[in-house]
Amino acid sequence: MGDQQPVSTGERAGVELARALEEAARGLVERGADEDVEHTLQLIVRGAIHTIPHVEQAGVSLVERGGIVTARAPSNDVVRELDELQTQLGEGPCLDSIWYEQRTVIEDITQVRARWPRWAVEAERRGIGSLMAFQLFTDKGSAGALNLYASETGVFDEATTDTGSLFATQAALVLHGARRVHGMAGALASRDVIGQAKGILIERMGVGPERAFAILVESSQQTNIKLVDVATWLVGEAQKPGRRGGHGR
Amino acid sequence: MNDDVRPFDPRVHQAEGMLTARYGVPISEAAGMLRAWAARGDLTVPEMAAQVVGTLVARRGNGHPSR
Repeated sequence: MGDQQPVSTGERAGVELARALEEAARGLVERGADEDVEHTLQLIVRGAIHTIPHVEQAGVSLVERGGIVTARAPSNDVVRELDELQTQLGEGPCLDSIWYEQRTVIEDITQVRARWPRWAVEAERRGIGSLMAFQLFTDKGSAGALNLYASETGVFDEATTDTGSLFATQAALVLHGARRVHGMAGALASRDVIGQAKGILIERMGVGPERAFAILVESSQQTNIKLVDVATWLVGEAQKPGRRGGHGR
Repeated sequence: MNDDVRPFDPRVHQAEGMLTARYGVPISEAAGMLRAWAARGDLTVPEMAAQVVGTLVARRGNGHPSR
């Protein structure tokens, strides 16, 4: 057991990896749609720490155009601070690599001071020795990456990096599913409220469904407000006490 | 809005909106009215919604504006 046996270690890591991903996928299915994405991110972060050797802290960074880095589901405050620092300093692994590289591996944080002079010093000051970052998705001007941290240097060898890469690939698929489910739930809710708004217009203005929809579209275009937001506003207004009982019985 | 077991049918949401506008009840209450009427009439909610839409339009007078 104490001997170095790469095969058995790898097999064990593979089983743990499969279990972690199974838990994440099951969590996605069992949870309500509203919390799916956030909950999935937490499962990914937790699973990465438990599964990938030497990883002590983790988080998912969301990078938007303009260089704003937001920490999602950070495992502790240091992870959150490191993401915020990248926004403040305008440098760091996420900003540098998230758009262009599938993976970034820093075996020794002290060796990247030339690349990120201020961020590397701040990371070192917070006890970071090495890190790995894996791209999870890029989408319409934003990108997400899984960041994994260790306090020691030189622990992220090739085998560990491969495990991290495999985990990130599976995590990206689970996250994609969560984002899709969330988007579909939102689309269904939008259809509900647009239908209700049509009903209000049909009743109030004496028009047919097609004309009611056209009125909503025209209002959206004229005000430059999304159709669903126009519909939501109308439904909200119709439910206000002062607006009620227009016809009585 | 999609927080209960209402079947998805455009007429259902349209009927909810019409009931809200006519009787001044919240959407959730309009949805409850539809469900109750459907149960009483042994109809599905979409079937009851279609009847409600038809009835409200007819009361308004052949689709002419009510205001």
